Amino acid sequence: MTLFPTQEIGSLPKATPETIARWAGRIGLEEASQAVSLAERRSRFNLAFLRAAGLDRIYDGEAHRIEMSEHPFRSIRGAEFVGHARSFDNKYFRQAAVRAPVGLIAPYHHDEFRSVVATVGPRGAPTLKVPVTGPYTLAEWACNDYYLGRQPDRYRPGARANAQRELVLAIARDVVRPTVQDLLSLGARLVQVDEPALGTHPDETPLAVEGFEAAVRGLDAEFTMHLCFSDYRRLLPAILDARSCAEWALEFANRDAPGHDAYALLAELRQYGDTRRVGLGVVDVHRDELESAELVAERIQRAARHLGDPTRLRVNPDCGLRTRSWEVIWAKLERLTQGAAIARRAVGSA
Amino acid sequence: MTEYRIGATGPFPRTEELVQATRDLDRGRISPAAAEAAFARAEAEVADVEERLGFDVRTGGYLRWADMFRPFTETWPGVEAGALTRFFETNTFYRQPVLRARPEGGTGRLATWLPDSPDHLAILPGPFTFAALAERSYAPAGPLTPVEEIAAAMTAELRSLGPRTPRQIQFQEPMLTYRPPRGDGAEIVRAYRRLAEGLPGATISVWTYFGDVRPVLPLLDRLPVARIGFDLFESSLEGATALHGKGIGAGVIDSRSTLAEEPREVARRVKEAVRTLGATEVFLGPTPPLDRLPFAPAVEKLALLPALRTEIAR
Repeated sequence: MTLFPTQEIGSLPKATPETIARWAGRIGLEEASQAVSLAERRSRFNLAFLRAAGLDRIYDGEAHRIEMSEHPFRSIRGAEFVGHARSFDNKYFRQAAVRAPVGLIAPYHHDEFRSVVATVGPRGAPTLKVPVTGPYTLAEWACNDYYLGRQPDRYRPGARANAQRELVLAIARDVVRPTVQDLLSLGARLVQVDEPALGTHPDETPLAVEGFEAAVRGLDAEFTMHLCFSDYRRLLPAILDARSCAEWALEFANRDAPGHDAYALLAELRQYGDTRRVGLGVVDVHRDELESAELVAERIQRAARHLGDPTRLRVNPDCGLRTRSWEVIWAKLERLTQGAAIARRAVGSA
Repeated sequence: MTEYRIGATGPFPRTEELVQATRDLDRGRISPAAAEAAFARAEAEVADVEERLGFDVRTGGYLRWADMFRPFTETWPGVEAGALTRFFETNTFYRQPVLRARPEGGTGRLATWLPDSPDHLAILPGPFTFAALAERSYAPAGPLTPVEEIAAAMTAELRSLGPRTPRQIQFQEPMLTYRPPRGDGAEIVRAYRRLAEGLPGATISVWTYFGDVRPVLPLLDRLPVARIGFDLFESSLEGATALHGKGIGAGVIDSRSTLAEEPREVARRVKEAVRTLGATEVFLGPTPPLDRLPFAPAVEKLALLPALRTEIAR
């Protein structure tokens, strides 16, 4: 088995037709006919881009999606959009408000997955890593009007927590699970459940775990959980109860600096006796500054020492690279794959 | 007789037009001048909302602030914008301030970020929260704790504004309730004393959220500030004792939902808080800051404040 396999982890920018044309030759992309939609062209472009960058496990950079919360909520009964809220700087998302019991209108990744499989071929389907927004994040990022409003006294202590639990579990059971089941019926075998909101209420980690399990327990696939921009220590040990999770995909590079070893957290996983794989964030997705391949390799080796087992590491960017330019994305992925190769040689010769 | 005042307690959300304009600016579809015009229109809309709703204090909206620390990371020497980091319980992020050297205020450059009028409410990061969320890459060498260093720099910065030094300042201190300080908090008291003594012409308040204020009330009562703000929905005041000559800020508009508040129930809770804490002055506002919501529902919720005040005063 290859050490330190590489993988993408989230969304890419929406490529313009000019971008696609400019990169097509370099990444070996056969341009689609004009009859194909722009979303479809972007999807094929992203797959070719990630493949050309040398990543082992890929998806299509969420080319068919608008945003990780807005896209699902378009297919969730009981929710409506109330306007744009700011994420950071000039980045925004459409804020959903839940105003009736939630349910699934239709599996929202169905057409997308079929399209990606059509590009990579049926034999490629099981190697695709499909990102799915997790139930806790969907609930946390929505205004929970319905479930809060039906609490007997919504201002009493505990009322908000009760409402949140009802919404998380309803989304897990009635929205995310059928969506994942649909993906599996189409041939998906690797599903990454994105829970970036999990860091916002560390005290609700047990609820997030309950939602994760309600969404995926017993389904025949490999599930990973992606967390980012959190103080992971505050999620431990409760997060470890997510028994159906085979891999933690975590952001680290964003907070790794001289004098501050972000990867030391892995030693804590080791202390808890957790033996699952780790998808290791080795490049910062929020800065244009390029990590050198040597720095990436050093981070991987440092992480391997903390974890105590190099075979459990996969290497990825911290998060989706959608806020960077294509040139920066290429350079970062290039250094990521080069760094993984350096680390492989170093560990192999040790 | 208790006096009730109303107003915003944090940044406004951006209007939908400004959302589009800033997106277009980033994508090179409009000029900086066109974006600037959109900012000006949005600020005028905020001013109109604050006027129309009869707010006792105006804020201007703080629409240009990327996060509560950015003006300082962009203007204070030795302070840089670091990693993008999640801001407490929200789905928003901020650039973590990285202190490469002891922060020095006094640049006068905060003026470009604050409302033009010194009578508008200056909403600033509190020294405890600032120090707690910043990364420090220098070895402290002086007698001051990190919290006091921030307070000293903030005092110098505000004093350097001269005639534009704000007369009403609200320090946002979510960290005080999110993760209360260990020990007796003496350094926090000293930090606020430094601010109060350095800014004698200003009325200073502290606004907390993201947690129950009850555990830190005794500490907050020791601060030389005029008002203590807290999230009425997250706080349990059972067993609390009266404050010593302070007003309270009651966060009564819940920015986590678009549901309209229930005036009677909110009024009951505010009155209970006033009785328990012995407050003679009450400021009613949103909690946490409303910029989690889009502009339209945020304004709808703010519009409840006048009715809430009437209900409470009844």
